Amino acid sequence: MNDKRDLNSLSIYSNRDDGSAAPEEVRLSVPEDQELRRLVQRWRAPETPASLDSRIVTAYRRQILSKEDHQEVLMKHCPTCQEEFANKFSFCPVDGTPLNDVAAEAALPVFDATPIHLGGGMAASAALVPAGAEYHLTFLDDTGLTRRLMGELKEVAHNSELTWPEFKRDPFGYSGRFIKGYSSLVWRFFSSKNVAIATSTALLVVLSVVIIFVVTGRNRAAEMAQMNKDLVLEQFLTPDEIPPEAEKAKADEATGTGKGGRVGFNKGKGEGSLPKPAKAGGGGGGGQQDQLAAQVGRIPPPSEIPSKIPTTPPLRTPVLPMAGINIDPALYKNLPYDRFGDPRSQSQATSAGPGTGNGLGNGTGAGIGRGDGEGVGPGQGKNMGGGPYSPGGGGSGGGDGNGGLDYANHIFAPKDVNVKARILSRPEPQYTEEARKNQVSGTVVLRAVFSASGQVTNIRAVSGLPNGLTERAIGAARQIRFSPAMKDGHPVSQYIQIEYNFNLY
Amino acid sequence: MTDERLLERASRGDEAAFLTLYECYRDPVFRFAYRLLGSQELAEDVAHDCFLSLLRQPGRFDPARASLKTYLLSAVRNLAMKHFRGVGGEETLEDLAHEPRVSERRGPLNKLLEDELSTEVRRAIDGLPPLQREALVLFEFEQLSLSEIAEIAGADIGTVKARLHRARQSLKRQLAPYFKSNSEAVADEVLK
Repeated sequence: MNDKRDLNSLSIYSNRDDGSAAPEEVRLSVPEDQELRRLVQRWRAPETPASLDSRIVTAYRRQILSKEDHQEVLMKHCPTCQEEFANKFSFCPVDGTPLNDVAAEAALPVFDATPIHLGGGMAASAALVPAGAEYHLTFLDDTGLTRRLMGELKEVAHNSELTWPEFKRDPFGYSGRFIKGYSSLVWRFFSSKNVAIATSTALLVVLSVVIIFVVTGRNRAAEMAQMNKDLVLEQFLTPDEIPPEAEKAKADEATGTGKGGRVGFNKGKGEGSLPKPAKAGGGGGGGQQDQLAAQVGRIPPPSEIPSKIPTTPPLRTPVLPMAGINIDPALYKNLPYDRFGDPRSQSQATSAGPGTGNGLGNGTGAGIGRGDGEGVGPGQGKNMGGGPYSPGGGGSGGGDGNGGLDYANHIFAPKDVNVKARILSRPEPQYTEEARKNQVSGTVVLRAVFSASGQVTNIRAVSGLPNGLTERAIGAARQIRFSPAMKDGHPVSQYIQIEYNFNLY
Repeated sequence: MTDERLLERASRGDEAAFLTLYECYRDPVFRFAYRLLGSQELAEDVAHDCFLSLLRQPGRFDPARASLKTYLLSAVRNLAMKHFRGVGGEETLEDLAHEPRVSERRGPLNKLLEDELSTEVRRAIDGLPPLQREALVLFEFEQLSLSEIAEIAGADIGTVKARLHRARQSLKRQLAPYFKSNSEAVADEVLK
């Protein structure tokens, strides 16, 4: 009976759930219930102690600080090796000991020190190994890249979701707090021990390297600019304008000041005393270790017994020849100099040249030139003509003079002359009526020779235009007035390329 | 501003928001802890841990399920239960539901010697099993509804009703000498 009555009295709870009446307003069906409630309400709880307030506020501030200084909180400590590891490790990577959160507890004693009255079970469980935890052999994070990326993206999305309403409500205030928070983070980072010094040192090193590279690169660029400035593009050359190597070698091997042949000082194309024409070879060189280049002069008469070549003429005419060089007599010519010397030299100063062997020049031996031997020129052994000694045939001969060059007849490439030809006047060609009617336009390219005599010769069209424009261009080219190119003080002929543009408008 | 919003700001470092929350729920949390545990020091520790657990894992609070007050009181309840288990060893919830904690052999004359009636009431409530006690405290002192109590206790409403009923029965037995209807009989007994 009694139970039934009391259970009926519990209907007051349902009334409260409906929100229709407060407990005090509920009419209790049994007087004992009212008595009980009156008695129970006499138990007064004490006021919340102020110490709780201070504890809570302190703990809150530590909690926020620990969130900002995330790494410190998320470390685990190995009781064996006394090292700290990232929170993701369950075992010590060094010795396999299960890790615990001692490091975090040290940083946040208020949070993690479980109150004794609660049994201390939490503290004990902190050191326990989680069931199913993996053993990490290395420090490397073995989580997959995709999973880590997804985790990071989720974190970013979550943060954005949390912060977006706040930013939307108060963008300026939020931005200010954001900047302030990160500023304080940076400040705390740099105020850590040695961080500022280390960062400054690293920056200085990097800055120094960058400055060195910049300065070096700038100097290099300046040098290149200076080199480019010194290089003046005078003219484009087509390959056939460049002297072929064989011709160049031929000119190099040539000796003498005569005309017509390759070797020798006389006129004629023969190269020696042999009855049949044959190519002469050989050469010589010498010098007496003087400072200056060998002097210009005549070559000593042929002699199979060469002797020291004097650089000054004798006071009296000697009875016996003073000196001789070992060349084919057919190639010899008594040149009009009053002293011995190298006929191809440009030097007027008295000097036997820097070579050795009592000859003249910068070679070795008793000969003349830059060769090695008793002859003349760049060859070896004796005689002249270049290369090893070889007796030539075909009679007397003559080279192209100084190094085989014929200043009057040779046509030089622009790069081989000392002073390029300079155009004084250049008449422009006129359109032909036919070309104007047909509206022909374009460029006519001519190749010509600015001869040493001041004439434009050997005009040839490289590319032309129809309706008489090419002819007009050639006619205009013939009227060009120029000063000839110069080489070694001689006016010489020079190839040149001329372009005429025909435009109607 | 809603509790959820305040909690979110507090977890991001807004101390003013945290203090607002704390001021709002400090007293209910502490009172409930005190009435469950019967000790001011223990209640302070539990309240402290309760608020900190909220800060450390604010995501565990789901406003769709319950109010923040309900959530906090649940946390207090769980911490208190952990304490009871620690003190009593390996006990089950059933043990906690049935074991009386204070001797019922005290005579009304001795009780009359107590300084205040509230002390006796406290003793009586202290003597209740924890599960009954929490239901009674939440209902009588914190003015919570049965559904809220059920949410906190992790039980259905019928169970809560039964616990309340048993608590009331027990209290009636212990506090019967202080009922007005019995006071005359008590006086007669004393005079004899």
